[in-house]
Amino acid sequence: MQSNRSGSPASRGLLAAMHPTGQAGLTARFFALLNDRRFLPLMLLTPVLVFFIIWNTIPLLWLLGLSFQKYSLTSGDDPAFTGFANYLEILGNSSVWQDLSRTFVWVFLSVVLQTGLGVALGFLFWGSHKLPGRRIALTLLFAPMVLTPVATGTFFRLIYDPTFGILNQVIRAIGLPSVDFLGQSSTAFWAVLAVDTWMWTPFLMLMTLAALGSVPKAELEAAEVDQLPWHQRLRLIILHHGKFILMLGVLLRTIDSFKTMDLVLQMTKGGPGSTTNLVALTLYRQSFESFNLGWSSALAVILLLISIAFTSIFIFVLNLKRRGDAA
Amino acid sequence: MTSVAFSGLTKSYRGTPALDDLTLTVRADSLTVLCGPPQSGKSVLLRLLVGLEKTDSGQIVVDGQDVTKLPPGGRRIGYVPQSFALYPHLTVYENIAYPMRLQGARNADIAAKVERAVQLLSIGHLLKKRPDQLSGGEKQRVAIARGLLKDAQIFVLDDPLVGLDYKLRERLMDDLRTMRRELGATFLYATSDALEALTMAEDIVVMDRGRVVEHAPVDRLYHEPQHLRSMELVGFPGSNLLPGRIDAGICVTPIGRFAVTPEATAPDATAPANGAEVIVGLRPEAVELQPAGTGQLSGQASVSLVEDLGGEQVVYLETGGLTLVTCLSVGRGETPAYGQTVAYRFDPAAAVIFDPASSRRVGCGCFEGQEKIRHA
Repeated sequence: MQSNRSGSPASRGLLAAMHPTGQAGLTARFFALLNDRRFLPLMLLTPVLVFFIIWNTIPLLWLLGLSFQKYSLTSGDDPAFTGFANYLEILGNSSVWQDLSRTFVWVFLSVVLQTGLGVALGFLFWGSHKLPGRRIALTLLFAPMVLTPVATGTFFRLIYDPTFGILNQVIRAIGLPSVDFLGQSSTAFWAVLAVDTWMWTPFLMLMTLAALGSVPKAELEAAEVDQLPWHQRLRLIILHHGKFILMLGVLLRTIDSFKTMDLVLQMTKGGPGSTTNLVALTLYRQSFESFNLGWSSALAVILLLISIAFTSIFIFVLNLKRRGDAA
Repeated sequence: MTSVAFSGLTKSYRGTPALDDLTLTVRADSLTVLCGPPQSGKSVLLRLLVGLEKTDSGQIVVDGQDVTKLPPGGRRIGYVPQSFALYPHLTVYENIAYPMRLQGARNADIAAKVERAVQLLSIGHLLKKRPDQLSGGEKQRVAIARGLLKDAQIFVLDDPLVGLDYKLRERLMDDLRTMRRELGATFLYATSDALEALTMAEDIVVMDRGRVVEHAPVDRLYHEPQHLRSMELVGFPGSNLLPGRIDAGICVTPIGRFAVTPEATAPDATAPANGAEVIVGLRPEAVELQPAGTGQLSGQASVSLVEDLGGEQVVYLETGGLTLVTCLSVGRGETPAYGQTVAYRFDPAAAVIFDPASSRRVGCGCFEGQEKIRHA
């Protein structure tokens, strides 16, 4: 940098001050551009926009294009445009429908369970802010959430193992016959659901704590002085302030739960039979095991549309509530 | 008739004491204002009384009953917090009526009471609105109505007028006094605003660093302050506090010498010793811009600042290396201008002498034996 700092730097902006004008070179023109108020925002946004377009927009359009083609990597044929053939095939495919309905049950159960438990735990931690060891307990409870699902799946496959898994050792120790949790169709779905709940309940607990944190203390104190019954405190104060954050948590969990694949792949590979075969796993198999790219792209588009539908419903409900409040 | 008594109250937050062995008995059927700088413990004391905080030690007795361990709901105390804290879901009417309904009041009674409060506080046009549609002042008025309609004999108002505009504050101060008299209840009212305290109070409790430094009826506290902090905090503009020294029964200050009448009012206070350093307090209105009359000290000073408050002017005078504040009614005599040299006078009997170590009042000035002011 040059030492020439004559003039009044403050009046010309910081960047101009760092690079004195006078030399009409390329750098000077570049820094002049940076000082332009219309140009600077665009400059600052460019990196993220480029990233977004390369990694999001282009793949999405590509996916959309693929979904209209018959394109399999194993057949050796060139991709061929087939219109809506893939979509029609999927909509007529009974096993996809089964996977989809199983996935809806999965989403429903996991979201309800995790929300229920998460909210309960959140309230417990909220009410116990003076309890010693609270921070340690919180940290421990958050641990499942930060583990990768593949690792978690592996742990629990071992824990559930009928012969040397610790769970069955406990069961045998209390005199009961061991259970092959992941190997029999009556228990596999529930066993995987339990692990998913173990993993994601902390997330909803976190959201509950955040929601409760947004409730003004003064209103709760007023309620205490007025002796409001607890259900009225919940309705009039806590839900009023906390519902947005809580609903956001439920929405994120719903979308995420809809995409569950890694955990199931690691624990049961969709089995036994297809009792734990979620639709995202089907998608994974069709694209990366059967290399049926056209067909799986079409399925991906359908799943994306379902996710968008979920989101829209939540956003609609939240906005509707807000409009109701304003009226 | 419900009185409130605190005894030996201690409360600290993470090792920082907020209340330090505080003992105070509030007269029943009075409006007692807790006055003190921020962090002096006013709010904490009120929150302990309402039950929103737990005491570390000490006792709170309301109407002969020990309420120290009772939950907030069990204490039957009306509470107007500093922040509005209205229930966002409910209309203004419901916000006011709901607590009464919870107490089991009949609908007709509620309607009548709300009607009365609504008239006093001019919030009739707001009844159907929700809190998020109200301005700050409107919210605060609704909160006052809600707090004061509770079926209680003690009402706690924690700086309820803070942040409201001047006119509204004036009106609400009057309304609150009227409401208190009508209810015949005991009001505890916290503020850090000296003018508000003087306007509202029947009794004033001056608090500082978690202790009560003085508790007296408002006029006695103003005219006969027993503690340096009372003189400093209660009054507007602030009092003149000058350094002084006792020299054979004469108080020597930069603006003159006058005799001292020792008056150790507090049992443990002593008369100022010979040679002792003291602080001399002088109310602004005691300093007049007039040539000396009999029984008065006088001097010359230059005007360093004039604040025009409309009806009156606050004039800052520079003399003998210190600043004297005085308060003039506009329209009486000439208005002093910046830089002008003026004559001032004061009656030494208005000077209050404090011991700097204990901050206690140890005497006051008197005219006898005074000498002429010598200037630096």
